[in-house]
Amino acid sequence: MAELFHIGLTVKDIERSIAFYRDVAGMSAGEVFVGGSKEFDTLTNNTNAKLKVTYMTAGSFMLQLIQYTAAGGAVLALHHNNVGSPHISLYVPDVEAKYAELQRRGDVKITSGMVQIARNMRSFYTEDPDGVPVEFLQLTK
Amino acid sequence: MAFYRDVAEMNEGAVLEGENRASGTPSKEHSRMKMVHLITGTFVLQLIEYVPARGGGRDLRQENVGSTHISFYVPDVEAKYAQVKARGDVKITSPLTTMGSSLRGFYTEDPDGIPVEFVQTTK
Repeated sequence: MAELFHIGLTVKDIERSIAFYRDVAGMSAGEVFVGGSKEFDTLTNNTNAKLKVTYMTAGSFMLQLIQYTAAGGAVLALHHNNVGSPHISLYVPDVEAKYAELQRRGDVKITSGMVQIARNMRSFYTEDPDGVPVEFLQLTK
Repeated sequence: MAFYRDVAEMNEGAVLEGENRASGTPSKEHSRMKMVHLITGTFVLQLIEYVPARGGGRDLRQENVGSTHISFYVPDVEAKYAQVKARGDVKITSPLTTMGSSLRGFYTEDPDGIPVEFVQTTK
């Protein structure tokens, strides 16, 4: 079986995204390093790409955030039901407390009310700084 | 699902199908969805098909803001490359490439054009 290395997310502003995934999503932030090479261009069919890259972690899960500083592309319209659109769902121990915390912060776009999505799951959605849907979910029994 | 099960070798869960009522998502434009979870280790990849879908045919190249990609470790990337090539039905988008001193990999695309990388740590 293949083993997950990481999920990558291309962002507009890496510092802004690090702050979201660290302070809002509760992930651990790693070092930001500058990248770009002939080999990376070969793998990604690009030319002279320059990047800032970091890995955010939650348990064994790694989220790679990439900001292109050269040879970047378009800004995609993200929506949960757009084909190819990512979303991220994170467990929290107390989803009501998380909702209240984000409401108090005032700088995070909360895009849904609190919903009992299944008999044992209660959740709500937010958006990361680039509009990627991020769900916070509690297992209720 | 076939791609992530057969090519990425993830374990497939049950396919759920139903009306999308109070889903918690911001959209109200769809009526039905199919969903499946694919699992490798502790990672769960949720695939969702909305009926009707929207926003298809977009350019999901990695340099686009908001695009995602998935990177899998494999024990033998040369064997994986040969296996995927032999299948003939998977779009391989790069040659096998060595990155730095310890990674060797290649990129494919899933059926919707999401970049999927297979990589081996070489030391």
